[in-house]
Amino acid sequence: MSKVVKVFYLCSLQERAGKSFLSIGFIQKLQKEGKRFAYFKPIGCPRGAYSSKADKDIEFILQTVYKDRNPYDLVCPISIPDSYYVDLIDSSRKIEYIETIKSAYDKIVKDVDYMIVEGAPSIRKFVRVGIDDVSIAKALGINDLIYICPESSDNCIDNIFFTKNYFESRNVRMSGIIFNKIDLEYIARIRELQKDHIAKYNLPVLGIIERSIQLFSPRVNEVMEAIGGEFINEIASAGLNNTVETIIIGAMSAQAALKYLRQVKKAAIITGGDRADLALAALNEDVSVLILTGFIQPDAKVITVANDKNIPIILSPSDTYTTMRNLERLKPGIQKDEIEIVLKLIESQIDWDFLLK
Amino acid sequence: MLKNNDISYFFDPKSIAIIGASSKAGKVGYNVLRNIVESNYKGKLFPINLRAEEILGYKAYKSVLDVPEEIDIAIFVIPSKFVNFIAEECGKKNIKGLVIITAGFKEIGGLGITREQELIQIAKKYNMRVIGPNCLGLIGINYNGSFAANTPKKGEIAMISQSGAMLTGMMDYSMDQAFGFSCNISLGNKADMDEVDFIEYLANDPDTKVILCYLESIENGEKFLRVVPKAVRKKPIIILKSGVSAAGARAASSHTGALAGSDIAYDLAFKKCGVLRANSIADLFDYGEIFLYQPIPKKNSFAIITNAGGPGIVATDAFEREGLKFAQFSEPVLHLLRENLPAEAAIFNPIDIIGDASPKRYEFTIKTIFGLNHETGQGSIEEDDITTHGALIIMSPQAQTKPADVAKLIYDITSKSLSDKPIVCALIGGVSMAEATKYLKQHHIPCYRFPEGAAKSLKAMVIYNGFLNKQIIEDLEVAKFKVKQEKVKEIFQKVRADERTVLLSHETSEIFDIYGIISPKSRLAKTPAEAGKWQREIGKSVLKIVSPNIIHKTDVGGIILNIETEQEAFEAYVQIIENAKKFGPQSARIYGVEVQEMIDFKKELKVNEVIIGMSKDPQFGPLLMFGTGGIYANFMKDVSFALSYKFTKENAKELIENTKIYSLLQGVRGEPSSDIDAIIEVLLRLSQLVNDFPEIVEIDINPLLSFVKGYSAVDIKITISR
Repeated sequence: MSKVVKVFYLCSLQERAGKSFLSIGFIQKLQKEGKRFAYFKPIGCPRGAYSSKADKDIEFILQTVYKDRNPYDLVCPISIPDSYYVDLIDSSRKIEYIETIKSAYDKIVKDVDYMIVEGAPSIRKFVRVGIDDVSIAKALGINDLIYICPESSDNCIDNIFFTKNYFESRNVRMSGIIFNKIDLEYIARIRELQKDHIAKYNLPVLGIIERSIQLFSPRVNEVMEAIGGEFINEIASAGLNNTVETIIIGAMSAQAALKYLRQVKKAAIITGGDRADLALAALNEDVSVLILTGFIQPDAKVITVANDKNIPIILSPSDTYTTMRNLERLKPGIQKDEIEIVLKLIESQIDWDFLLK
Repeated sequence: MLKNNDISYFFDPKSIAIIGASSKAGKVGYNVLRNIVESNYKGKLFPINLRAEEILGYKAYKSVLDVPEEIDIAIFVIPSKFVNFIAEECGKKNIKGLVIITAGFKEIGGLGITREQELIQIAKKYNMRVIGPNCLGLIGINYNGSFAANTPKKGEIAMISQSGAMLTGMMDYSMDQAFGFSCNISLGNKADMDEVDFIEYLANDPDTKVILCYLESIENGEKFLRVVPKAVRKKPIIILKSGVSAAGARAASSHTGALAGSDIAYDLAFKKCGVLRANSIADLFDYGEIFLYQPIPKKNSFAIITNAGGPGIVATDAFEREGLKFAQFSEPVLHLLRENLPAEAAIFNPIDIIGDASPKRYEFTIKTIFGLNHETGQGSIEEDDITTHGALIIMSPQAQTKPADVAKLIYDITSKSLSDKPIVCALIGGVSMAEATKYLKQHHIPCYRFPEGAAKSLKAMVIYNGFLNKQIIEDLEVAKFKVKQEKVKEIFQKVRADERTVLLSHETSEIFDIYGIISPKSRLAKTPAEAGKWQREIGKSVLKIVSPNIIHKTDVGGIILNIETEQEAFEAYVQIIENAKKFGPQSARIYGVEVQEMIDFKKELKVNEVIIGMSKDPQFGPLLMFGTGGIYANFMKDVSFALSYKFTKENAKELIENTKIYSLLQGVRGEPSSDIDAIIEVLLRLSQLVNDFPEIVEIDINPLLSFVKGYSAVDIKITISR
């Protein structure tokens, strides 16, 4: 390979750092700039353990921003599920995996000037069996990795330097940092840290992207799937696309709960199916969905009001705590109607002059 | 609004087309045509009907385009789906005005709304004016173009009604009354012409002396405020406004919004324009009648003459309730009364001429208080000694009372000698008062069954006179302060770009600074170090979390007081952010921490917490509020309101004076007075701010700390529209 291909290898120490989000943005930006580029994700994570080999995020990317470019198997040559996976990839198969990845990568890299490579959920992932991000990067001849930092606390500095040292110990380089999903109040602090700690180590900050409540909030549809719930008011089905920005558990009296209900936007209210008082109070506020636990059918009046306001009611089979825990595990994906917002954010907040030079 | 302001063709048309005229009795198309014919209309009539050759003796045409002559107005009584098509034909025929009686427009929603919008587009295209749709029709000077059952008597009251049924009811009621109508207008959906258009026209109509309206809503408040005050100077306008306004439905997120009732803006607008508000149908006609038949008193100074103590006391109470003042009789008048009335009579106002009062005694008393010579009926006492500018004469049925005789002599005196002083009567009783009541009414002396109605009507006259003596609204001098509006615009742009409607405290502080309203110094810190820096600049501070999603800052540990050093500010910043993240709503967007100057009001001689606010009324625009502030503002409800339209220094003073806290501000028990002038200035500056920026929908300053010298607007909330 004689020509120089610029590679954006996006990796992170923490999971859920927003690599898919960044990939969607990078793809759109390079497309808009008319660049010859390709997107590659060495290892995908199928939804079910063994049921399907398709990674949800990659499928979404192929259906929206990266249509008709490369087939799934070339974009993502390997699929490894998230549970009991070590047995599948004992080190004896390491060579086989690396070869498969390399062969796919070589096929798509030959016609492009830029490569977007989306790393594993964490740089720790698959390190036991030698197919972690750094090992793959090295096998592909990539020495520069972009570190994605999703932390809105001073911990970020320790993690950046830990990763930097780790990369150096393995003879790769941190070529830049993208702060992603940062809380608004922490942005000014990052600028301070950049000035006082990061700049002197010649680590470029490629961008600081604020946590977008809209993008990282699930839709009611996703909430329903996460809790295994049943949607009971068909009339309000338009509301299944509502965004859920806050979750509130309604346990106190309706009167007392009002104070909290009034403060929130686009909330999912979790309460018992037999709490008509609270459900009715909540329906007057900015509510996206009503989740009724214990599979208890609500009062007819609750359904009527919810129908009027197009607010879906979901019956959850579990108790309140379990429902809440399942919701916390939910990893909301980017929606089709949000990809333009992603481009806008990536375009305005990333230093493209530096990246494309 | 469509152009073409001369709408006289609606009232006195030379020719009328009835679209959908019918020869079948019972059909609306028949009733309208019959009413026009029976009201002796002398102009030309063109029934329009696809099948008929002739209706009620008039040649019928298939289309207005077939009529060989000019047509002034067209009255529509056809199904709604055909209206727009025919309206287009009317336009081509150069018809000036359309009266759309047909229903099935905006009031049915959906398709009806589109249909009404199309109708207005057609009218605009051909410069036609439209009454209705969905109305009863119009009874003009020379015809009855409605489908009402009767044609009311002619008279000098113009009646405008948003409800057709109310209009027919009122017309029917008037049939056995003395008064009649110059015209009756049913507004319907007000797609084009509304009450203000008619008020403007009727103000110059020589046949109309008083305008009565029944309204359920006023859509264009700005037009109302601009036009109606001028009309009121020409003749009294009395409005019965029912229903809860759309304002009631708005979310009241501010103190001001919550404290301002749904109807208060109407009250204020009517007061500002000099419109008299009737609270019942009875009031509407009582006021109409007194203005129609009685002169307007020059002063609020009245007498009560009664032949019984009880009714006299009831009347006195009613007068006091209404704010009517009792004339203080001059010595010559008292002397005459003392000399000529029985010793048991009460000669001070109210005058009780006691139960055995004869018509003669009534006559003597009336003439005396008005200074009329008993022989000739002309003035006998010096002009300066006459202090009475109107009177309520009460009769209760006693053995010696001769109500009919008294009624006759009252008419006699008033018709001959009292052209500028209103006289009203309250004949308490039933059967024995019937003849006298009928006589008085027929002779245009307002006569009430009970004194309360009389007091209310006289009060209406006093208010009207007060308005006539006020400066013309257009000439009022409104303070204009020099401000840098551009800067405020920029702040609003930033807020919108952020998809917010509520301003953050450093933003409100900056706006107030630009408008010259003093509030504590405030800076937004985005890092702990910045908090330290601002603390050093400001001095003793309070640190507050800044997030549009955290309303109850104290609850989440979002406020720390008494920050005296940079280090304390640094630590407080960290503490507040941690608290807010721990206890605040999950999705709260935190902008940082506000470092606000801590007002040391312990050094002030006197501190009063007041609330100043603004809530935008959908019809009449910004509504200013002043009252007792602090955490009990919503419970005390000691507030008064004023429209910000043409808001003068006098209005501001009046606004403050109408509250209880005004007494405290003046100082009680030897306290010094607060700086009321400074508060007046805040109100004027705030009024300018909300008029300069119509996007501001709510402002709350609670509290504004008022000192002996100066003030500080401590907590400010500004909300703008999306």
